[in-house]
Amino acid sequence: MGKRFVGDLTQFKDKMAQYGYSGLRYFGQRVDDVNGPGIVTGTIGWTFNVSLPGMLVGKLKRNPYGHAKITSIDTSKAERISGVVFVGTAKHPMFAGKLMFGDEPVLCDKEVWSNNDPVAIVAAETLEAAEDALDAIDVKYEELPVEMDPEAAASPSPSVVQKSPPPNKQGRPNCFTYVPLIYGDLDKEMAASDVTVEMNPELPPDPHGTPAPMSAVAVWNGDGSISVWDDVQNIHAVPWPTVAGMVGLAQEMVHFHGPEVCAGGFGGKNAGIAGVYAAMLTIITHRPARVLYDRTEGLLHVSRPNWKWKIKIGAKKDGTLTAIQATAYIGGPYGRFLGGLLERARNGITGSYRWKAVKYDGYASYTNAQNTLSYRGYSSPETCYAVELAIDELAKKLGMDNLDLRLKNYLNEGERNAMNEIFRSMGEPGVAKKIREFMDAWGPKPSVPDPWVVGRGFSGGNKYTQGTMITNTAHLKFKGNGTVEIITDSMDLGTGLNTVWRQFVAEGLNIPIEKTVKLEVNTDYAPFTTCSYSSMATFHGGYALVNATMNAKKLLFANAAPILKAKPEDLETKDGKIMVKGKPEGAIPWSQAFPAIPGQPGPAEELMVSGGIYAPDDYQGPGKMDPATSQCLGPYFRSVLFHSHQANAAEVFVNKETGEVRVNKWAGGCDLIPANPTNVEGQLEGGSLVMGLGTTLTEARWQDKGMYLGKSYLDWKIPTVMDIPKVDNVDTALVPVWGEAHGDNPRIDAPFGAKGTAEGVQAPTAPCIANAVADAIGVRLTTIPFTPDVILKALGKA
Amino acid sequence: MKAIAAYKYYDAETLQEACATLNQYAGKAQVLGGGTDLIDWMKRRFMPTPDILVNIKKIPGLSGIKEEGGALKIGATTTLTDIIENSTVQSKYKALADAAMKGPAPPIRNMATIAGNLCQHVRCWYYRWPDWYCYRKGGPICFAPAGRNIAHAIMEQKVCNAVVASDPATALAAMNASVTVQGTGGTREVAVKDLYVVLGTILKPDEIITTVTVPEAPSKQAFLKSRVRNAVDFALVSAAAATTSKGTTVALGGVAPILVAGSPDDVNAAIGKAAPLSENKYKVSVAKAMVKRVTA
Repeated sequence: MGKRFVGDLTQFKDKMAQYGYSGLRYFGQRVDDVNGPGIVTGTIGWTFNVSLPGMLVGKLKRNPYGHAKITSIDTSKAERISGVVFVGTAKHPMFAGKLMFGDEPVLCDKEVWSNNDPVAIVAAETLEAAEDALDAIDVKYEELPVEMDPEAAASPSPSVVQKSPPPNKQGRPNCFTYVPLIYGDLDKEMAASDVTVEMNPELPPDPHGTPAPMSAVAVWNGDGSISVWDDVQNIHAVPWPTVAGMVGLAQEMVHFHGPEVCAGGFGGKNAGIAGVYAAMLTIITHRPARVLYDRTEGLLHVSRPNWKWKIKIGAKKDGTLTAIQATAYIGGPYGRFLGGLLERARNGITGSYRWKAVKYDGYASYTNAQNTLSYRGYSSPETCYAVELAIDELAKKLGMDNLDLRLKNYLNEGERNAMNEIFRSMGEPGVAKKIREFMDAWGPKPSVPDPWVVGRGFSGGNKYTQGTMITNTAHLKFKGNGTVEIITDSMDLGTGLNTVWRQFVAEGLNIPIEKTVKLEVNTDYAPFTTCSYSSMATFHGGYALVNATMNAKKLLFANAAPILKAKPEDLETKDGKIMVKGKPEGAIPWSQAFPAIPGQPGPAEELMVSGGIYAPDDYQGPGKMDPATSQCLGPYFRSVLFHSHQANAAEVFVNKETGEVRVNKWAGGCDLIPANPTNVEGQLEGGSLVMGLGTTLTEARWQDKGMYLGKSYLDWKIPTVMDIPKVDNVDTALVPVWGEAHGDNPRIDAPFGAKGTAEGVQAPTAPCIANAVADAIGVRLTTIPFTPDVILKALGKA
Repeated sequence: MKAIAAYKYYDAETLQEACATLNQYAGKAQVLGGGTDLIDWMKRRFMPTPDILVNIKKIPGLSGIKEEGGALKIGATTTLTDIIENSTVQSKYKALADAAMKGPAPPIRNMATIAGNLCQHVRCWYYRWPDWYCYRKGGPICFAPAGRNIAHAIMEQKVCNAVVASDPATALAAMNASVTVQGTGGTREVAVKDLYVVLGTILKPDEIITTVTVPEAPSKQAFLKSRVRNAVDFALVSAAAATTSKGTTVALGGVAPILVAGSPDDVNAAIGKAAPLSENKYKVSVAKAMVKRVTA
């Protein structure tokens, strides 16, 4: 096993006490995943395990073309197939609406904008009948020209104008979102630079490739309501209102159930679209219906968009960074969450370094590329890729050590960044130094036999966590038998959230984790809690939970004080008992302190306590953002809650004859106070190393005129265990940071100092491996993935 | 999940029965070995579903590895795992064990048979999806030359640019191996290097491979494979070389719709005449380098 560094948490004990901790008994501990056995044995509550008697199989007929006009759809043959119950097209009023941002047909009837667009839906008794019916639906298309390039699509005079009427942002007919960031005097600072670096990094689409494709089951209830089980990352924010809105039911008439563990999300299960189709089918047929995407649909229904960057950065001779100019082009067939990506790219640019001037322009335009959705890191990995490649080249030009260059320019705790936000919880220098220390400990580069060559690379990275859209509430139900039930939204995506949340409650109440239970997430009783996206479930949901434990203790201590003949502030809880601090002998079970029911003798049998925060847009103090410059106006106003920071180092072997690249050693770290170090290390190894390695080296996305070719896991190549370094060659570091730059703004609490990590860990991986490959072959490659053909072309062999 | 369209299933108990059934269905039957390629091929529904699958795994004597008069005989339904784990193959025919090992993942190797591996359908993405009606399916053109062709042929293309997908085929061709083919009319012996033609194999609709024979253990041998991913991936280029009493034979996989095999000079000359497509010029330099490596 490689090095496993976990920073000392005891230094924060006093601070944590203010937030109600019980002495790091459960928090910060290596607690095994409570869902481990269920996941390993397949008995966990996956959505695709939901099966109801008489359930129909729902399947979608998908468009094969990149862009085409639909000239006719004939479903008559399909309707006659034995076992087929229903065949629908956009002519049916149920399927005539638009999804998401209102530009995406539920079923297309006039035009298809991207491969995989649905044109018809079938419900059948069996999968065989459903697939026979799909084959029997005769759709006639007239192919139209495609535009796959987001930069060309953003042109003021594009070859194809995609939508009518054209959105026409910034005088660009296909552009539907434009996001700027202006800070300082770019021309002056660029002119005053001694060295500049310019490059055009590009990250093509890469699908989420979740372990299980989307699935949902819906059933029509006799009272006109429906129940929906959907494999989603959250239920309140998007899936519940989306499903209810699309089927025309009030939200309370849709009983929405999340999975016990979401079968992989990476942002691709934020919308729950399969649930929309399942709900529609059950309302039409009055029978339970399942929509389960197959692997091909799983790889086609969502992806990262194509990112094209034009970036230029400058510095003084001594390495002081001066200015950055960055233009981002992204595109997709529908708006979805693309505008938000451009907004978050600003945070990537301003989330690590001190710039004297910044000019950023982000354009999102309609293209015929694969449909998109929020993708792991939501622009942080893509933005850090562009910035960190340029920083690496800048260090070479300056003749400076690339860590020294970074350390010289990292923002300080409390400093204002180029969006005028007070920067806090800044742990990047510590993480970067630790990872560099690991890399240095690898010793000199090994000698490898010809034709292999060795390279090493390093990169930092950052990931914002958003604060808007947050209403956090968590309920805790105390049982007389000493157990506590946790009732919240937010799904464990295999990340260990179900375990971490139990750790928060166990720590807050000082009870064993086994005495806590997380109930099924559903809209019948779960409150709106933060969602499992933006790396924030641990932070926000954890806050609400700890807050609930503190509220509970207040209530319990007030009731117990007369019984124990002590002041409430002199009491403590331990293992389901309340006692005077340090005097376990007189302890009473907490059930004795439950509030009394009027007219009944003795306390109630259960106690329900809620906790949480409500944080509207001004959660960091009053203010607003200037849309023309993206500058935060107001003393404490921020566009994000905080940044998390990461660093990676890698050693790669490159075969100069075959173009193959293998990662031999790797180190990754992040800045946080880990609720569960094992979980964070798992995130680093899985999310940073494996997923980052895949997107950088193997996951090429092939298409021909917008028709995708790599539609199976043989052609879209995620790394196998044979592609990642040996366990001995993998080092991880968790570097604690406690943000101090609070000013006098009170809204800065973090549960026990924890902050999210998750998707952020992927931010430094692609630039790190790219920097290592550049070191190995002496040629700078900027468009991932670096498949053998790309490497050999760079070496002049193709 | 994908469902297979309806088909009939027949467990053959003798080779004669199997060949007779195949003959009866005249091209609308498929031989079922491990099924690891065939079932996926049928699920995707890009070719007409066969009327019948003829299972040959229950035919006695069709599985097993033995040495006979200095030659290695491998039965048609012997699995890749059996080959990898066989001590004779490991010690005397290492290139074949390497080729079998560097193919699919262990669960597939446990199911896949050697004859099925040789007869698997090509992996061309235009062929493998129903969205393109390509020449190999009976359509008018091959889409690869004007489309995306990183993994396609650089020589011997003619009407189709897909490449032979089997790694063991490359190793066997270098070892001058042959297959015994049985049909309703009797048996014949075919060199592995001649097994493939541009749109498939030389097997007639009623024929089955029964045995793979390697005539002589090489005194020197090597197998190399380049690929995007280090496991569970088809070859971009594979190369094998084996030296026997007849000299050194080199074979290349992943470069043509047929196997390219012969003396090192012949194969180098063939690479020299390669006609790569728009995106696969890199394969020429990879092939050259790999031939040099396997013959070193």
